[in-house]
Amino acid sequence: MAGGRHRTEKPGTDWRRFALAGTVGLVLAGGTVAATTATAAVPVYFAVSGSTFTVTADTLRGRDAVQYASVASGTDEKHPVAVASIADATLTNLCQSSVTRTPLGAVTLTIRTGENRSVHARDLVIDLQRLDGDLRFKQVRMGQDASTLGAGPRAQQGAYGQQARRLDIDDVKVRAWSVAAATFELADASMSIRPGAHPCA
Amino acid sequence: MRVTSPPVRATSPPAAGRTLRGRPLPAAALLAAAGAELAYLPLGRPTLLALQGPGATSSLMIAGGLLCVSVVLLYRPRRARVCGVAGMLLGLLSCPLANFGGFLVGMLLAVLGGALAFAWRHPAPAGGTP
Repeated sequence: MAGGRHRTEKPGTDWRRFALAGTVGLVLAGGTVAATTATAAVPVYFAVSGSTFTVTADTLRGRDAVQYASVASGTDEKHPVAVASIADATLTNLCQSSVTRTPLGAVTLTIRTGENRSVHARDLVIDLQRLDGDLRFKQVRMGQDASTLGAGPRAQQGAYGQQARRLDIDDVKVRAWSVAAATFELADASMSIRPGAHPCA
Repeated sequence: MRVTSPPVRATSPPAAGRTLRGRPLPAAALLAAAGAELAYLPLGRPTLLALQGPGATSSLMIAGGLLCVSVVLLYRPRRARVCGVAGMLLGLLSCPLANFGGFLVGMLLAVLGGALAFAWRHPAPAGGTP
């Protein structure tokens, strides 16, 4: 640093260096965004999803499905949820959207899969607020104590529960607090973020 | 505020009343704005903070880091390059760790602020080192 190396001049921005650093930074940023959204390997944490999101699909074919009532506990709020756990589920034409309020207004994050490409999930657990659709149960037992069901987290003794060997739903529309799965394969999926509220219909 | 450095040096904190001229203000402002934006998302709704788990915590850590970088940048402009790299790295980390980099806004602010800081030239005072 000592003398000589720098000409003595006023402090200021070296714009050539800024262009270089900015370009490198933006390229890295693009790469980070691509890597984060493209692979499921890097979990993306959303802290602000204090609201439900919507999942729609044309069909859902499930095996070993369990449903029961439970409570998803927050700090102040506890919201009642219907937990739906499905050991093996195949969905078609999936669309997931979450609308988030940001400093720049509402933003909708949408994940869609390709038309006619099926989505496969194992050990799917959904905290439901509401589910609409045409349901078909096979080998169903309803009114079973939730703690004696075959699967599912946070099942409380004494709570209502039901389970079915098969569960098929057409025209599914789900409002959920959370979705978790052991594997969730979305073929030909696209993820987009748009300003404004555009939930899946 | 503690002022422990020798009184007259190019890198000493600007004394009260002295302007911040000759300091990388735009870069520091961008980095601070990035930190504020990232912190706003979880802090705007504090009741949901603990519920939301690691996302909120890491958001706040990255936001705090960015704010620190911007302060260091103002008070130690000779360290601008290190600050720039640090700000940029924090910005990149905010993508997976802090609500998608505050929905890309905070991330872009941090990357641009980091680049501006990196490009800051703070020459030694005339006559070189004593």
